[in-house]
Amino acid sequence: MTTRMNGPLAIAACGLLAVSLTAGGQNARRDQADARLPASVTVSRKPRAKIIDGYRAMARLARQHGRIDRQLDVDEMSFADLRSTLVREGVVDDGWGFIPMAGLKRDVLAYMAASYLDIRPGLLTSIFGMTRRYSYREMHHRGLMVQGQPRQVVSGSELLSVLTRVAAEVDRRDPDRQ
Amino acid sequence: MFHRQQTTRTGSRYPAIGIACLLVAAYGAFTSGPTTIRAQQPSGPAVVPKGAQPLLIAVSQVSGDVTYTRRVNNRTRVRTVTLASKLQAGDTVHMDVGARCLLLFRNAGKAAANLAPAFDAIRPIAFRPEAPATDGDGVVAAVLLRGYSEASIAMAFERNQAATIQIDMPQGVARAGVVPTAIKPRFRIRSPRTVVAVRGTEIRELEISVDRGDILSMGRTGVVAANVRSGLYRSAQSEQGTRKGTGTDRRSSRLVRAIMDLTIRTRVVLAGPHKGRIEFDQAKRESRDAQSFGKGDRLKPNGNPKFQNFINSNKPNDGTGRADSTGGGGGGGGDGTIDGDGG
Repeated sequence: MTTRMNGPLAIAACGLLAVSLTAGGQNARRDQADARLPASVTVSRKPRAKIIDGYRAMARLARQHGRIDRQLDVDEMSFADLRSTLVREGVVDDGWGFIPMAGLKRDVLAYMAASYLDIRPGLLTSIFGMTRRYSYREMHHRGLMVQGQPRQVVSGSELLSVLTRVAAEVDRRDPDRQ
Repeated sequence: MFHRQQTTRTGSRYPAIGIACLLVAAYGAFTSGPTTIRAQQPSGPAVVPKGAQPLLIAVSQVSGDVTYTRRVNNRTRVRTVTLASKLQAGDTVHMDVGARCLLLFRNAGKAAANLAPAFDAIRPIAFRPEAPATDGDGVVAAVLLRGYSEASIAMAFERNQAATIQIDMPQGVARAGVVPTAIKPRFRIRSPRTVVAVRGTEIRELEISVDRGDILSMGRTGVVAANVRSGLYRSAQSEQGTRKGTGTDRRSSRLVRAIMDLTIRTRVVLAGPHKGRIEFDQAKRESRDAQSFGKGDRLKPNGNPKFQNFINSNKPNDGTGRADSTGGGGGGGGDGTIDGDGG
């Protein structure tokens, strides 16, 4: 029985090797093609957006709007640099201790979007600052985000949809940009 | 003895099945993965029907990170969109958040005459003895993409003086304008949930997203019609909008916007001396058109001998309404007097 197994095993090993080499070459070409696309295209295919995806997309939007230095290579920045840049812009709370690979929740995204748009509704919010919970409720009220669980992790596509609405809101406030 | 033979036979079958499963699993593991742009591309360039001329797609304005992908010889080519880029049917435009891109669809005959519109330049005023061209330098349609958008140009050709343009957008924000022609153009934007068609005018804004669904904002004129199982019914009028959610639609409906711009513009509505044609509120058009003929229509002079007799009788109008023959209630809310009938 051992003798009979050698033949199929050799064929299987050769097949696996050929398949892996072929697929590896295809993946290399795919990666090469995808690398030239905007970074948001890769984000849009993710079923779960990460914190670093949200930070990077927000920084990219801020660079597009000229709020941070246009020469900054946002795609190559480290997480710590991204965080410090966004903290300086007031988009990210300084007390947040998220790890880069954590899921991006809706309330976190709402806080970043509301802070970017400088939305501070209400007296208490204007005095004590915005919280993630009320940021999400305010963004939902303004139609920038959909109703749902605040702690739900957004998909990459939803992240880009919200940021697109944020960009549209910035354009609406400043018609000269259009 | 019997059990021993059976054990030997099953032992010789299992390795072959296991190897086959291993091969299939290995192939799946190596070939599957995140969807790449290569997998989203069409198999080849779009086929232009016989007798049709492909439209030239020029980039009029671009800002931000905008690229397009094209299938060339079974390979996907990625290029950055610039003002010099010439797109064609089959290309897919990818835009970053905050980017803008204005695409102009022009017919080939006019485009060959080098009539590229310069939007940022100040043109000298040219007094032409003839009337200006109504075709806008050959521009058939214009599409403005904003924000994160993926737009695949599925069809762009002109046949028998009618342009056919179709854009497939899984996600993004688009505004579109279509030049009305005698033969109505066919302009469509498809999303995974919706088909939006324009005939002769504009899409103020169409937002296609995975979270809020497809949201269509209307222009100054036009209607929105939803094509569902029960048939075509109107869902919104001008200056309104409509929305189709992302949830499962048990009615399997498609949203179709049909703007009868030509019909509206050729309609003559006399709303009063103080309102010109351009000031007429198109949103109220239906309520005005739906009026039926009232009793006051009998005051019309054509074929009404009683009216002719009354006019020629030299009797003063006392404002009582002449209830004997032309009693009250004119079509426009008239009080029965002659001058109250606006027709």
